[in-house]
Amino acid sequence: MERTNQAWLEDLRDDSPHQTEAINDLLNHLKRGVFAYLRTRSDLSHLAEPELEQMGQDFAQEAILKVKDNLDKFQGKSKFTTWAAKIAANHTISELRRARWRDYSLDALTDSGTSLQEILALPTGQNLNPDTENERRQVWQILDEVISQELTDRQRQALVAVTVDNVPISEVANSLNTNANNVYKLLHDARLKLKRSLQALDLDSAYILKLFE
Amino acid sequence: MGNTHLQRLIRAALETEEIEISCQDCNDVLDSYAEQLLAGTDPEVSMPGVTQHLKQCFCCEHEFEALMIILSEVTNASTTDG
Repeated sequence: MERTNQAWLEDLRDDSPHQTEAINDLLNHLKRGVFAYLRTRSDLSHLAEPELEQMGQDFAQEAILKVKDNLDKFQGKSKFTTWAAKIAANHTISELRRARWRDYSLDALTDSGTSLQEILALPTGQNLNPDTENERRQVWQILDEVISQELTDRQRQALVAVTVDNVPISEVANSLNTNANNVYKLLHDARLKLKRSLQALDLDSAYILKLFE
Repeated sequence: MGNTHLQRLIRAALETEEIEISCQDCNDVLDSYAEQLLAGTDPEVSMPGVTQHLKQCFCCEHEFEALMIILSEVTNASTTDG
């Protein structure tokens, strides 16, 4: 099983006489790890061990196809097996996400408006002195203004979906017909606008967070 | 309920940096980042942008957690088998 990075690359090539052996070695390596990960997922706890094991085997096999397709992209900055494990982790999470969010629609989410209404509704502070309540209101007003008036529609949609509703960036990207990097940029721009406006209040960051505990 | 959402939003905003790396840039070096962590080296020193990205992006954070579990299991297996 022990191979150098170069040996893995050579053995996994289609014209290598050692390809089958290398694929089996890598599969054994990855499926054990993927199975261990699947066992930690609370949303899969209803599945029996053999089902999880089969799922781990399937994901590992599919990941190996991706590894083979991307051999030219391996830059040798880590062990080959770590790089392959990264691909397996990415593939596993992507597949589980796809199943979980299959019917997700950003339009439905934003049409309902519940999330936005929730974050824009200032929760009542309990037993707060007038100064503290005033500071809470100031923070909330800043958020309200920036979200309602300064963010673009796409920034607002992405921010609410990802930051408030925990929708994966990849699924938001699908809904917005773009890619994950662009959604992350939308989020970053939106967060920066919020941060700059909050900083203008001249309150300590930890204090601001404490106001909403 | 509203407080939880507000807090999450405020924290994300306050912890935003002027320059942040993309999900792809993060993924490109996640294997090196994981190896440094497993080797007992603090990857935040050499790759602070990745640490920052993982704080802000729960999707990449989940992938990193999965990677660490896979690597830990494989390392344990090698130790046990060997």
